[in-house]
Amino acid sequence: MNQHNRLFNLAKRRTRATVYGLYMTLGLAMAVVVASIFPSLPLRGQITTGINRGAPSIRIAVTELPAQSSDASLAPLTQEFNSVLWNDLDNAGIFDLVSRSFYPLKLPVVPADVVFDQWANPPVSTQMLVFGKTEISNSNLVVTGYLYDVKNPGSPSVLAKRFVATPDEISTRETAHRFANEIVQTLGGGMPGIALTKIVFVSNRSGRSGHSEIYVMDYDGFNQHPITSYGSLSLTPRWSPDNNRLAFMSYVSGNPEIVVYSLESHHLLPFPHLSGMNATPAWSPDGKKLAFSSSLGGDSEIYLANPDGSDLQRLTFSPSVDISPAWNPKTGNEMAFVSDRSGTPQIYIMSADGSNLRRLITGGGDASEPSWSPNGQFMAFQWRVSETGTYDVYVIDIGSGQITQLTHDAGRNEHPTWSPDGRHLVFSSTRQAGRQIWMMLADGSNPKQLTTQGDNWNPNWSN
Amino acid sequence: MSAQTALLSVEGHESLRRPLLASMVLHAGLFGIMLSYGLFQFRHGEGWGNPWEKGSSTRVQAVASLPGVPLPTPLITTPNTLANQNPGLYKTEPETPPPPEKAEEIPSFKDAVKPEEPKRTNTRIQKQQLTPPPNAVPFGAGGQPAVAYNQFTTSAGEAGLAFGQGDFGNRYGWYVAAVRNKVSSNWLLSTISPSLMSAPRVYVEFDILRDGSVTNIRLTQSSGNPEVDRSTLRAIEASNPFGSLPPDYSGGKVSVDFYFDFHR
Repeated sequence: MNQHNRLFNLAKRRTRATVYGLYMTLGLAMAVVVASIFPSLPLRGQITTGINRGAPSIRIAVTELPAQSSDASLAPLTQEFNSVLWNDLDNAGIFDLVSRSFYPLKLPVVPADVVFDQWANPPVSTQMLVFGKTEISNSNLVVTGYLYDVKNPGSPSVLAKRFVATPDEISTRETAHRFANEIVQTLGGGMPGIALTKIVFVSNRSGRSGHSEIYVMDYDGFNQHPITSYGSLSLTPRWSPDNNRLAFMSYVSGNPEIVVYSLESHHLLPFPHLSGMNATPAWSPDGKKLAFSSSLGGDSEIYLANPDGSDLQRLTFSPSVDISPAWNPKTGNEMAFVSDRSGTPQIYIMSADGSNLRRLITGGGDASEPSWSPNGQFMAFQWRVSETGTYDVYVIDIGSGQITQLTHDAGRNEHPTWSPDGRHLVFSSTRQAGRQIWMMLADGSNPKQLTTQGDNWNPNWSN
Repeated sequence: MSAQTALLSVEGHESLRRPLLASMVLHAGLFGIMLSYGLFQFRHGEGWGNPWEKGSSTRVQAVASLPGVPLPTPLITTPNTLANQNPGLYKTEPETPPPPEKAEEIPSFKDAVKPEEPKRTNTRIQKQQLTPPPNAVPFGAGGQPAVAYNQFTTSAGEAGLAFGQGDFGNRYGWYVAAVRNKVSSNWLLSTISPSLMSAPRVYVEFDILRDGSVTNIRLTQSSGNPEVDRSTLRAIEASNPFGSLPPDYSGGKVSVDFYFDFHR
């Protein structure tokens, strides 16, 4: 009996030990498995940085607004309206326009017509829908436009607008621009659209060699017309922040001088005649100061003055050429300019009183024509890198010093300036016949030619 | 007596020392494997269960806050397979056909009818017509899941937001998307020192007034790193103003919760 008990106890102890051992082994094996699985999960994603990255473009379907009354004049105006609206939204840079070939056959005219499934589901798969109608009423063009969020049938209406305009081409285009601006501002987070902005530029299309005049056009290249007819050389026009004045450099009086032109009175405003070479004016963001380069004191230096030329103040002091000032539009207390004090033209930054000078582009080659983005974060400039020997448009992120090349292998690309929304750049390029004005998105995509006649350069976008 | 000594000797020989030793050696070996694996992993630059990494925090949040967390049990009709005619242990005798009353006469050759041509069956593989389940979301029509924090990726990491005050986010999804896009394009990697690889989540609250201007920006939960905190506040301030609030929205302001997950 005793023996039996001892044998039994022994067997029990051994079984227990084996079981505990097994448990521990199993537990450890599981710990090893878990430990080996978890560190192999994807840990660090690769992040690509760039301009305007990280915000997906909005899919939008833009129907052709039908003409709802039978006036003969309405059909061409409606067609004009539709094409301008489409172009404006396409140019905006924040939309992905759904091709019209995917749209259902029956297009909505009034909100009750919208079949949400047709638009929200494939093949259209759009987020937003633009529809409406045009009509002539009391000899006025009346456009009714709707913007609907078709993925949200519960409360789809985003915008509902009615525009009344005189039935001619200019007003029709302006109406389309206004509607496009409303859509862009609503869906783009409050940033006003650029469809009603203008671009000023220099052209020699009048034909006389060595002469150039200041021209202005809508941002989409429509309605190009001259502002000056001086029969001399005028260059580097710049809009004042209130869009009422232009400052540019002109040989109209025989000497290269700064000229301030009023777009309200269409006359020159008083500015003193300074001796030497005066060029590249730049408005301060508050419009109360004008920076420019002048060889008043012997060699070209940056000067600061009031828009009427008073209170002249010298900012740079170096025995080299300092030109092309560009203000920081966000803060108004910094200025970039071009100097060849290192041997080649390079871009420098200083405070608006001339202190705190530092070089921005540390690479070689020639860097010039700086233009500060409206949010103060980027600087667009033209750069001829020594290795390639071609002039291209680059953008530098001033905070990090990261440089992005925007144009590649497409002629000579110069004079970049920003649009007021900071999403676009306008520049001159020789990629097609002659030297023409082009527009592109600030990431270098979607280039569009704006001018065709003669040679055109020195574009500047209104504010 | 002899049996007792034999038993004692058995007890003395078969002590627990040997299996214990063996198990200790085994465990030591396992620890060694774990340690060497860990060192190997660490040398390759991957952290162990870092709580701020992309894989752990964000993804989990996305799943947990899906609209149907208290999911309704789906109505699945499972065919009852218990009462079928499987042969059981006691096989029911198949019904035997009653024997013919009279043997059929073989028809004469003349009257024999021509056998019918066998019908040709299509032997090709037929495309199966798949009928989608009634709750299927058509391709591309699903959109973003209605998570509480509308999540997105920016150049500097991941972020999310929630609009307070009832169903603002549901009614004005386009406004939320516009706010999201604007902040994400304004949150900059360059504002955070390059040596910093990741930071805990930062929570920021702010109010958007009727005209779209931002007020009352406040940090509700710091990341512990002032640099990251400042960069998130800068992203909000750089986005000021947003678009004006939807015209048919009755409230005077909307309060927004925003979070930022910084990682490179």
